[in-house]
Amino acid sequence: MKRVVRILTGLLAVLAIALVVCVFLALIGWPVSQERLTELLSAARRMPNVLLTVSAALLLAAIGVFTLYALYAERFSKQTAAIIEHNAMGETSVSFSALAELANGVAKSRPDVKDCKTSVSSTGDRVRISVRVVTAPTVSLLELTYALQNAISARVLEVCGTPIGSVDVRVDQTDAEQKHARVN
Amino acid sequence: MSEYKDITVESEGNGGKVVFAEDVVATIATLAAAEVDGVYGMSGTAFEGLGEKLGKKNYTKGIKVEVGQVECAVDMNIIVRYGFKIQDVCRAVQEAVKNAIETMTGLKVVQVNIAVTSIAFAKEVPAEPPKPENRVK
Repeated sequence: MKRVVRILTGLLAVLAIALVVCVFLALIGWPVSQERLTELLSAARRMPNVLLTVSAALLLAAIGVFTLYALYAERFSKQTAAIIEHNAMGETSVSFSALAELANGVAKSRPDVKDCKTSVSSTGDRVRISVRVVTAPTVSLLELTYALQNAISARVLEVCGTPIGSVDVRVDQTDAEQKHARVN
Repeated sequence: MSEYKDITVESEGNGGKVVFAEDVVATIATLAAAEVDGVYGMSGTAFEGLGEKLGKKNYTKGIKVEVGQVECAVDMNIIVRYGFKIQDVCRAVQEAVKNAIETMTGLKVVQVNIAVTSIAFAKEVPAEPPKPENRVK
């Protein structure tokens, strides 16, 4: 996107947020200004539905915040590359989110895993994958965790070409299959 | 996202010059990368994706191009399909983008940086139930 368009869109978003703040301050009675905001307040109160006005103002503020985030969040985002490789033509990197999705896919492909959440972090040059899985109470936890660690490590090595530092697995069992109450 | 500018190439012998429109290098790179096996698509920001949701195809999504008089460098954010080796796909994308830009524009590509931001899993299509056989003819 061109820089001029980005700046104009950003200014518009800031103006929208500032307008909402002024309206809010006027509604709560803050003496931001005297005549002009009083007129706006009177006009807003004459509307048949003040709640509609407030809702529209909040929606406008939300759009402004989202616009600012979409335009400028990339500049303030932290380094998100987990694996970086340099070659003759440049640099290739794999983000933390891509690694997390890969590990998540490996875990979810197992029939004894009902649900899972994956996060990836790095300490120095070692990448750590943390997997939290939900499984039925009848599953052997020892076999499941061992199989998950091996499967995720092997898959990441095969796909990315880089070994993983560690794979931490946390298992949360569910008793969803226990349909009958144990006590009356 | 860097600001794109027109690229002027002085042609030798003909006494004229060739001027490329903005975004042309980015578009060439995007189309070259899309043809590589294993590439699901480009990964852009939320704002870049907003136009696509309104029906407008954006060929410069997820790509930054730095252009000089004779050289250029490309930074790309891509999504790789599950099951493909990421490093093999990235190398193929680098070669494809480099060849495409150098062939079509004459610019020398000094760097193609690839960032894999996501992995696309194939959506499972439910198998159709078997059609019941007719009992009578």
